Amino acid sequence: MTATTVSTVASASGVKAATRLRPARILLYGALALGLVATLAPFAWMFLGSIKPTGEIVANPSVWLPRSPTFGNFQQLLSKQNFALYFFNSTLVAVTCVAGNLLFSSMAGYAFAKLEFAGKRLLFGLVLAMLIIPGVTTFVPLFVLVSNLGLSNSYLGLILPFVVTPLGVFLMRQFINDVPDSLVEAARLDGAGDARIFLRVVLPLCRPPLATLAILTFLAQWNNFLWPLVIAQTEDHYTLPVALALFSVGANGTNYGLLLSGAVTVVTPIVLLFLVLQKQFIQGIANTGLK
Amino acid sequence: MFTSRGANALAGGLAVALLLTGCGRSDTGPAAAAAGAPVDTKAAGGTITVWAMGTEGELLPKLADQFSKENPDAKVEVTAVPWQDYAKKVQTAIASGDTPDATMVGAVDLAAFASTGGLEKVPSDLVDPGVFYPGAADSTKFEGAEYGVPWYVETRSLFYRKDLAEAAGVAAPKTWDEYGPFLTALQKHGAKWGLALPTGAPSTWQTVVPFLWQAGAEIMSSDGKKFTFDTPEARKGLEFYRQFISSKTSNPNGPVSLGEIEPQFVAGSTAALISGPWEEGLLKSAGGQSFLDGKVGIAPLPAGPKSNASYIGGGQWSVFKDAKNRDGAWKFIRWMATPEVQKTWYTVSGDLPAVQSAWNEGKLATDPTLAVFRTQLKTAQSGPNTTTWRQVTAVLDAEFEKVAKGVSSPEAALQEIQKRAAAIGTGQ
Repeated sequence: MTATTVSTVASASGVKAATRLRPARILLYGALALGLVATLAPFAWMFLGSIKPTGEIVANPSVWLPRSPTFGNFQQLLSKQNFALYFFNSTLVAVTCVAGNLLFSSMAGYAFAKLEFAGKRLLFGLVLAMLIIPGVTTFVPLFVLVSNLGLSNSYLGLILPFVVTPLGVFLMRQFINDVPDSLVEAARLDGAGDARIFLRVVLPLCRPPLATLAILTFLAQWNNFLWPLVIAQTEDHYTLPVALALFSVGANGTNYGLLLSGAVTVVTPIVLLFLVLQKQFIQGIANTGLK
Repeated sequence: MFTSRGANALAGGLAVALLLTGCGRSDTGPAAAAAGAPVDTKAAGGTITVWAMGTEGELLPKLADQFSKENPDAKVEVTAVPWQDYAKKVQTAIASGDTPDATMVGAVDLAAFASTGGLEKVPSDLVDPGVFYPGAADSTKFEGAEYGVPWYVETRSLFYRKDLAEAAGVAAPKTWDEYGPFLTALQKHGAKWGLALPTGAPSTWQTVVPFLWQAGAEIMSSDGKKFTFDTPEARKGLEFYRQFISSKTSNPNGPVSLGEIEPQFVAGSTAALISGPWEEGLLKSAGGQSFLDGKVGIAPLPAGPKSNASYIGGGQWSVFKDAKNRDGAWKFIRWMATPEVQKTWYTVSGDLPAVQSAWNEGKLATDPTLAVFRTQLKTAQSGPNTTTWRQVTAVLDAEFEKVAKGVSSPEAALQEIQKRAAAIGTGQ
């Protein structure tokens, strides 16, 4: 009897607690759900569209679920000559740029944060200046430079301009700046040189910004359209976005089926990469945001 | 600390910006001669590198193989380039001097490319401009010289729901007077909107300016020195455009993106639209072959007081100043402009030949849809070939939108267009 009373009271208070929380909770979940739908709907549309025949993609009123699902778009995409090559080119460029940025940006960031040398402020000012200048203004001069180096229509021409970026240097310098000097000094007292301090002490602490930098660089390069379009003068150096534009966007019309299946092909690796690096990525953004 | 760093950054930025502005190509402005040095009639030789856009780029190698067979010493290397941002690619190439030998050029972009000084003038006597549709030949001219050779053309005609017209017992309109009643009759037989017209989306001008032409307006003075939008004829044309919207024949919120109107046309809620040869393909993918065969009619644009002029677009070929195999490139282009090759290219790609005599036999001569475009091409015009035309078209699109939404009267819009076009100038 007593036990029942107790349990009734407990459950009553439990219900009370739940009701007290409910309006706020509902509001929160409602808002989050709305945000989720708004974020995911375009992706859902893209994935569903990629397996619809063109007639259904453009149908009015619009059709969400494919009525006659087909892999025709993907078959058409994969049957395009050189598709594997374009995929390889994109991967090569993106991965090399990520590797370059992780290494060189963190090295430069370490130097700006922990070393003293003449002209340090001026140089860092220049790095910041490069962040401020919009890419479009440097576009043509950069092309002229790369072309005069004889690197147009080469992998080097695709990769070299992005192998270290001002954003990367800035990001790494800000993070390394907050690594306690005492750590660096202790290592120096123990007889470690700069290379060893950098590799053994500083770099292992930099995982969050490195993950952020990796994903930002990968995204930027994987989606880059204009530079590969301009620098690649034969089709064998095209990357995926350039090839997709070639296949699906005509002068007077767009092949939406091909475009959507191509978009799925391009986006999937990024989504996978993000899922793998998610934890570090979020941590990295949070940390760099506080600086 | 912060201020000094900020100052450093600013100074650095300025220095870099100054360096960059010094890097442009300075030798702009075309030379005095009206044509390029002549090209001999011997067989072509060497490697010829060319850029071609989109589908044309994907299919051109087939044509190029045939050229190599006829010119065993020549090899054509084609790079297919996306239409998207291709103008940036061409202009960047011109700026660096790192160009192929020849490139396909969309008719609207010729003036912009030619004005950089990066294109060569067409050699004297390479082709007779008289063999092309006049609108196509006109679109290759910039400041009195020719910079391109027409390759294929496209123009816009009236697509309408044949089944609705038959049900209403009306035939395709031939004049402006018949235009409105025809569309109203289609509306009475189930269509919400009679005619789809663009109302401000990019390239709205390509559909609206023909109304001005049809009314007899010339939008540029004959010496090419100034724009003339504020004429009674232009006003008549623009009022005709507005009247479709004010009479609820056309939706004041016209299609914004490519491929948007086709499903409505298939569904029957829009009874007619103005479009080009590619429309058949779009309608086929939106409605199927049976829809295209049974329910789609096509007619030349109805004629206004002056003409039934439409807009002409298309592709042409230009050779770069920095070409390594200049002679070979021109020979390839000359070969592509022969009637036989033009016919072959039509069968390969479906692109309409720019050479009039190529239309005299086969499907080009007999197909009823093609016959409509053939008629239309005879009077079709291109926009003015000035470097500033692209800027002016942005003004046109914006002002036409105001007219469509009822914010501005045709008269006020034309005055504003004239004012702003005059401020932009013709680049001369």
